[in-house]
This record gives sequence, C-alpha cells and structure tokens, in this order.
Amino acid sequence: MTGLAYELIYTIPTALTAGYMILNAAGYESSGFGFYGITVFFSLLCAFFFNFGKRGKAVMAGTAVSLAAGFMFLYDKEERLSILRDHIMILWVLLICILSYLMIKIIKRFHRLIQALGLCYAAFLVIMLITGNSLPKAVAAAAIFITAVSAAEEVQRRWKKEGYTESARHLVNAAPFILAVLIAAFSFDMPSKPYDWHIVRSIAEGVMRGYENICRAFMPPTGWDGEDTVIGFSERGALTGQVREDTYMAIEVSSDRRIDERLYFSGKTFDTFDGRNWEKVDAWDMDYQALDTVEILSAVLKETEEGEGIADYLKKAQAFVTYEGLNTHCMFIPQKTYKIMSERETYCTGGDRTYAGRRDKQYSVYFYQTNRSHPLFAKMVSDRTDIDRGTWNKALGKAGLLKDPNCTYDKYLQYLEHIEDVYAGDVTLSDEMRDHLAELFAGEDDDMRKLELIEKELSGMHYTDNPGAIPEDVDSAGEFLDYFVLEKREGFCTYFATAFVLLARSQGIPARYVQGYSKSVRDRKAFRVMSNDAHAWGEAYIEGVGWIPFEPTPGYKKDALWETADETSVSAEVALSANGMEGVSVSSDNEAEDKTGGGELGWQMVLIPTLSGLVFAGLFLAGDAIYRKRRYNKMSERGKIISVCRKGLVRLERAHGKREQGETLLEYRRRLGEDVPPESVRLIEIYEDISYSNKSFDDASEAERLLKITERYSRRKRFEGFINHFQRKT
Amino acid sequence: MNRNLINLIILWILSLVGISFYGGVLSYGIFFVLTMIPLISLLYILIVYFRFRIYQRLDAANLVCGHESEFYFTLQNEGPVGFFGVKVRFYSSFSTINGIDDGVEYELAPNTGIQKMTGLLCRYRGEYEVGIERVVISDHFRLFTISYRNREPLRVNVKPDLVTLNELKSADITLSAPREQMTNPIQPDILVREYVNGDDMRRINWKATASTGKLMVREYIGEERHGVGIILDPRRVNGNMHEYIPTESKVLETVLALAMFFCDRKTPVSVYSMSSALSEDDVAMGQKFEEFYEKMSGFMFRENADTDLMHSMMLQSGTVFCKKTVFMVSHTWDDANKGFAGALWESGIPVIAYIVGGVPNESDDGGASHWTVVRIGTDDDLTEVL
Repeated sequence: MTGLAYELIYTIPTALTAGYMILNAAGYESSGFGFYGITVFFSLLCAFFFNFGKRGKAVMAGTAVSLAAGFMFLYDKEERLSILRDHIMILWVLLICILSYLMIKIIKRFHRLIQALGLCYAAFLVIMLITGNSLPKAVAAAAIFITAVSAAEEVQRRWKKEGYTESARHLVNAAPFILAVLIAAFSFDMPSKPYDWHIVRSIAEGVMRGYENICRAFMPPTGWDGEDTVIGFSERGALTGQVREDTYMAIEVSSDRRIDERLYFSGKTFDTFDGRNWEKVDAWDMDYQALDTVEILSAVLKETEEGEGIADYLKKAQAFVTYEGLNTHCMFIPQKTYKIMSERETYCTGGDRTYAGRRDKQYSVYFYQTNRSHPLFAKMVSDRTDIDRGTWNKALGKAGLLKDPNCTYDKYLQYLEHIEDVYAGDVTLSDEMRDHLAELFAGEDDDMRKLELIEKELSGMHYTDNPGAIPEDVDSAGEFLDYFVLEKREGFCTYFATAFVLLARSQGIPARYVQGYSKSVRDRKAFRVMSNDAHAWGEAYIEGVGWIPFEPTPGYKKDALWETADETSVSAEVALSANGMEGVSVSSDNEAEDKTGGGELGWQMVLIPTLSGLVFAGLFLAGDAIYRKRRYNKMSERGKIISVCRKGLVRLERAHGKREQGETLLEYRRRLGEDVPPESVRLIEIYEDISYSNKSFDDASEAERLLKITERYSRRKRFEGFINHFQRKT
Repeated sequence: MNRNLINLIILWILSLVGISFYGGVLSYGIFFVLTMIPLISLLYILIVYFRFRIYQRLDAANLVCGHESEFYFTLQNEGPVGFFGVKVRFYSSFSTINGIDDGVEYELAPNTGIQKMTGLLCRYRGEYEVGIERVVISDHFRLFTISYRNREPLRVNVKPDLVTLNELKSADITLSAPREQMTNPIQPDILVREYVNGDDMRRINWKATASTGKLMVREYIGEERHGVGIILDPRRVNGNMHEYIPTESKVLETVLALAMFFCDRKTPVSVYSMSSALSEDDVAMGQKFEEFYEKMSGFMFRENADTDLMHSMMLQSGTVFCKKTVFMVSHTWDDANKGFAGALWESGIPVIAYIVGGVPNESDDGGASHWTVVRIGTDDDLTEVL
C-alpha cells in the first residue's frame, strides 16, 4: 500500500498538470471538477491495476473489456463515432494518466530523476509566472505539490536517521502535511493584480513623515535665501548665488476635480526691491484674494453678457491643503480664491494670508481655475474696461460674497488706488536697458502684450541653480536689470521673477514678486507638493481683470487650457457622426477613473518587499540568536561543554565529512589525524571524556576557546575546498 | 539557523517580490504556500509533542555507583502521523549511557516504536534522574526543532560503591592496630616507670625493680584505647545538586572503604554520624557490615546539620576517646572540624581528615603532627588516594 500511495502522490498531480497543458493547447476545456475528477479517477485506476495481483488485474481488464464490448454492441458505427468524438477528451485524459503513471514508475527508481522532476516543475512554475500565463487553482496547486514532495524527498535523502526511514514510506507520511499546506494556502483569495503594499507604504510614509517633521522642528529648512541655501519656501526675499536640492514633502493637495495645468500656490508676496533683496512693505489688511477674484468675475461677466458661457473662462474648484513637512504660518493660496475655510484664525497682510497663532493641519480653499491660454481669455483682457458698480455686485453674488463688507465696490476702488501706490513703483532704467526694451517692444503699446513679450524674452534665457553671487556694485533695481538681463542672462526662478516684475514696473504696470509653490499637475486630483516645487514668479496687475501670473522662468510655463462649450460640441458632433451616433449629447467635463497608485512605485515594488523580508529575516535571526544564547547561559558547565563539543563536531564534519555509520569518536579522531588542528582533536577528546568517562569538567571556557579555533579552521577549509573546486572546473 | 530555514526565508522573500510584480493564482499561491509551510510544520511539532511516548526500564533492582546496569528504552509513536525526526538526549551529569550515540535521530512510522538496549552507568550515589532527559523533535522539512524535557523521567536511588583498599597509604595503621599486635610476646611490657603513690600494685614489674633497685611499674601503650573511629560529617555542601551529589557520594564511599579496610583487618571500627541524633555504629564484617552498608546507602545529609552539636555530643559520650585513631571524613576542613580534631589530639588521639572536594590550603597543615589532611577529588580513585 505504501508503494501504491507513493506512486499516486506523484502520478495524480503530474496527470493534472500535463493534462491541463496538453488539453488546453489542443483547445479542450481542461478545468473544472469534471476534468479533475476524471483525472484522479483514471490515475487511481492505473495505479490499482499495476499494483494489483493477477486476479485484480484480471478483474479490471475483464471489466474494461466488457464495457468495450457492450459499447460495441449497443451502438452502431455512426453512434459510436459520434460518442467518441463528443468525449474524446476523456480518452485523452486516460492516455495522459497512463503515460504519467508509467513515467512515475520509471522515475521513482532513481532519485536523480525525482530531483529532475522537482526542478522541472519549479522551472515550469517560474516560467508560467514570468510569462503571465494563468493557471487554475487546482493545477497550480498540483504543480507546487510535486515541487514540494520532491523537495521533501530530497531532504529525507540527506537526513541521517535510524528507524523507518525508507523514502517511499516517509513521503507517504509527509504528504498529508504538504497537502494541508496547499489546502490552507489555496483557500485564500488570490487577486489578479499585484499587491500594492498600501499597508507597508502607509506605515513607511507615516514613519518618514514623522521623522521629517521631527527634523524640521529641530532644524527648520531655511529656504533658498538662508545661509544654507536649499531649495524650499522662504518668508524672506533675498537673491542668492546658488541653491541646492533638499527634497521633502511640503504640502499635500487634493482637489474635487481633475487639474491639468501649472498650479501656483502663493505663499508670500513682496513689493520693494533694493537691487539685491525683496522686502514686504505693504501691510494693508484687505482681502486681496477675494477682491481679485471678484474683479476677474466681473471682467468675465462683462465679456460674456450676464454670465452665459462663464465656464469658458473660469471653472470653480476646491482644494484641500495639508501641511506636511513645512514649518511656516503662511497659507498657500491658489489664484482667484474667493473663500478660505480653516478652523483657526487667519489674517491678511498685503495680500498674504497667515495664521494668527497655531496653524491648522489642513484647510480648504475655493478658487477659480482660469482658461489662461485660451484666445478667449486674451480677448477678454484686451477688451477690458473699467468695472462698474453693477457688474461688481453681480460678480459678488456669483462668488457668494455679497454680504462680505470687505468686498464692496468702494473697497475695490480703494484697492485700486493702493495697488497703484505700492506696486507700480518707479524703476530707473539705464540707457542700454531702455534701448533694449524699445527693441523688444517694437512699438507695442498694449500692457498685456508688453508683459507677454517680457515673459517670452526672459523665458528664453538659460536656467541654472548656480548663477553666482550678484556683484557688490549692484544696489538698485536698474543696476540689477542691467546685470541680469543684459549681461548675465542666466539664473533661477527668483532672478527671472525679479526681472519680470522690475521690467513690468518700468512700463508703469503694477507688478509684484511672489514666492510659493508651483506644481505642474497632469490630470490628477491629488498630488504632493515637494520642497523643490518651491518657486518664485511675477504677477502683473491689469485693471479690470486683476492680478495675472506670468512665468518668466525657462521651462516652467504651462497654463490651463480647456475647450469652450462650443468647441466641445463641435468636436463631439464630429466624433459622433463618424460613429453613426448623431444627436447624442456629450458632456464636456467627463470624469474618468482615478488611476493614482499603480505604476508610480516601480523600483519600490522590489525594495519594499525585499526590505520587509530582510527585516523580518533579520529580526528572526536576532531573536533566534538571543534565545540560543540565553539557553546556553542557563546550562550547567557540563551542559555547556557538551553543547560546545557537539558544535565543534558539526564544524569538523562540514569540513571533513560526516562520521561513518558506527564510527566512534576515537576512530573519527584518528581518521582525521593530522589534517585538523590539535585544538580540534582536543575538543573531540573532551567530548569523549565527558560522554564516557567519570572525569569532571567545571569550566567551559577552554572548550569555547577550542571551538573558536575549530570554527575558524572549518571556514578556511571549506573556502579552500570551494576555490579548488572552482579551479578544477575552469 | 539551519540551511533549510534560510532557503525558505529566501524563497519567501522572492515570493514577496513575485506578488509585487505579478498577480494571479501562481504568484499568490507560491507566496501563501511558503507562508503556510512554517505554520503547518509548527502544528506538526505540536502533534508530535502530544503523541510521542518514551518508556524506560532498568533491569537491576539495586543500582550501585560505578557498576553498569542494563537499561532499556522505547520510543513510541502513538499517533496516526509519522514522526520524521526524533532525537533523545540523556542525562549526563551523574550517569552515562553506554553503547548508544546521543546524536542519533529516529524516524517512527505511525503506531510504531523503536526499542533500544544499552548500559547505564551511574557515577555517584544518591537519588537523581537518569536515562532520557530531553527530546528533540524536527519537522519533515527540518525547518524547526523544538526541545523539551522528558515528562516522565526515570528517578533512581543509587547506592555507594564499595571500594576495597589493599593498603592505607595516607595513615599509619600501626597507630590503630590492637595492642596484641604491637607488643613483643617475649617482652610484653616495653615501657616502665617509677612507682608513684596510687599506682596499682599488680602493675609492679619485679624484674625491672630488681634491676634498678627502685619500684618500677609497667606502662602499657594505648592500653585503654582500641580500634578506630570514623566520623562522618553529616552536612550537605549546598543546595546545588551538581555539587552535593558527587561530594556526598565520595564521602560515603570513603567511609565505607575505611570501614571495610579495618574490618578486614579485624580492627574494631566505630562510625559516628548524626541524623536526628548522634549514632555510633560498631561495624564488623558479615551481617553487621551489610546493615551498615544499607544504612550508609540511605544516609541523608542535611544543609542545616549541626556538627558542633555532634562534636559536643561525642565529647560528652567519651567513646571516641577510646579510639587509637580517628578518621574524619568531610567536605570541608573548617574551624569546627579543626577544633574537634584539636581536642582529640590533646587527648593523644591522632586524627586523619579526609576532605572531599575543595583545594588544599595552609590550614591543612596542623602543625607538627596535630592532624593529617588528605584531599580527595570527587572523581578520584580511592585506591590511589587513600
């Protein structure tokens, strides 16, 4: 019975996997309980037939012959052929089972072939995995089962034991445990997607964030204007000679809609430049953001004749901003914000919003995205006129700010005057710069056009993180422009933003220097703003439109652009007519599924599981070592010596081969002779004495010393053996 | 950590990488299989722990220290599953198992057993556990090994060995010989002295008197003293079994060896010891010695035994002063023993102290011939040392 069970252990899984692969290739249905049941049944039949005695064989053969004879007589030729055609798979399965059984019958005699079978199945699993071929659970389990039992048999073959050690019997006894492993394993749900490690990632991110927050609390980043010039947001406006990267997460932003543009989060604005540094003088406490938003709403309302098609210019959006690794009280506000919601108190100073005391972890902002790059927007700017009270109030209503006393029309008029006073400061240009600008503008008179030309010229320069320090003799705005625009023509964002603002002001256009974060977002609803997303840019004020941001830094420009309603309808109609679906309306704001996650963590998919596994393995090893050490320390001296001697014996056996069956320690010691160090021989002697004589041993330190020498010797010997083996091979 | 477990951990880490890149039955199947293998292996080990039985048997009714006895043990699998790797470790502190290697692993099929016959040699007298101490179980993949103490150890009571001494090198046995052996049959009285008032008239040696012209009386050497005394210190070394069992075993062996030596030479022997009260055993060959041996076999040493009390009781009874020589057998040559030895010496009784264990030191020298201290190791051969 043991032999029969042993053969079945290999035959059934082999027949299952071979049957599945062959029948699948031939186009037959080879999964499901029918297939599995038939395969197992035929495998059992084969095994019983070959293991039965003559009578059993005769009975089975007779039964088969009787069935065949009955089949022949009961059905005519046509019917027989039809039945066989319909059930050819069964015959195939029978053939596969017989062949599998015969193969196992031959293989089981040679352990090398069993090893080869196990390795073949292991390779089969790997290949199926890499090529992405899926297998039914039962077939996969069968393939893994064969690999596992051949591994168990190999372990048994190398295991020196006494008793009931016969390989087949051992495997028959071990197979139920291996089967239990498979049943337990395959009862789990097995998703078709790779594991995304969200738990580990969350933990890792949480740990990293905590660590970074602690570091920031003790060593707050100074930003690009500090002594240690690192890229990052700063509340000061100094221009330095170089910056370096220091990446950490500053804020996290999530929105209620997809964003596909470069978003600007203004942190702090500056109004006064002395040639080397920006300062903030404006301390007015009006709500600039709300006024600015109502102004642009008013412009759009005027342009669109009472709000029809407002979505072609402006789209409402909401964003949640979460502070992460940033140590500042500044709030980061996108343009055209009309409402900010935070639990703690904030205040406005010169257009910047700041927390009065302790800041929130998160706040939300309601703002308008502007269709900045669309020709409609440019037309609106060029068509701008002064905003009257009526339009203003309508815009207030649209923004839900009718009841806000800080956003009245009178406040707006005060706001206009204030901007003119603070942000339109004189910039004294040199003659060279004047000529340069004259050439640049080539007679252009429109403010917006001038600003675009300035932006274009600056963005055509060279970007570098290391432009060098500003010369000592530069101490005015005009001298800075001469140095940067005419001479240096390279730098990083603060230089370009500064130049833009100064050039705009030189043309009488109010402009301000802004520091904050700028993130190019590709069709996402949530994103992380990192420290090296810190940016500086210029904003120019166009009366009747509001503050418009410009991007003079090379490589950064990416404004919002979306199709107007008319454009969307036209293109949808064209598409629908091509598909024969005219008359179907199409929404111009389709929300696709969010595909965040997935492909971003390429190399981390290897690192995280490997590190997790290594950490687990390391902890397990450490725990195991500690447990063994403690157990050793609790032993009596005699027990320690015995333990040490046994270890030494194992090391020697590794280097010189195991003791033969029945070989005593004395014979082993003599056999090793002079090949081993005298300390190792002494260790064996101690083991002999302690095992068989009446000598007392009160101190294990000598044995421990001998063990160390023996271990060193064993390692050296095995290394030499490996080198010799390798040299022979080559 | 063994190689198989390292291989499993490596494969498991690779399976983690696998499920990170590939979904589906294969990758997750391999991962779950590799995760479940250790769990099932541990479950298997639990089954073995509860179903594995050891039966041990000793053939000898009485075990004597230093004499081998037949020892049988059976490893029995009483469960429906095979036991793939079972190892047994024997007690080795006080006993040795001959004829079998400690490191052999056994495999047992369901409901089968393996019986082995070996020789058990107990090295010390006392009551302790022998045979199989621990069981080591491995699973079928040799991933894990657990070791646990034998739940039903074999406890034996071992009697001390009887060592036959051909000679007593450490003591001058002439000091303890009976008077008849020492005196010259022709001239039985070796010493005479002048008569003093009070001497017994019957002791007058007329020959010496005639030759000297003065009254001379005979003086017998050791006339009032005969035989030897052996004092057994009843104190236990300490509570550590590994120290007190070997020591007590050697102490009793020494006492028995000395007693048998003198009994063989027909020298009267009295052995003093104290359990609850002072006992003095007059030992002679034959049945009395058998009884004495049984008594010594069952002698209980105690940590709180009061030797001062024993010594003072001995001094009070005075019988020890009738001995020609006294042997003190103890594990320590402390002030109490020295004091008593000094008292004996002052009464003219030579003392030989046999101290088991410890290290020789200056105080061993009693000055001149106050006493003789002989140190005996717990594993020393008494025929060499005594």
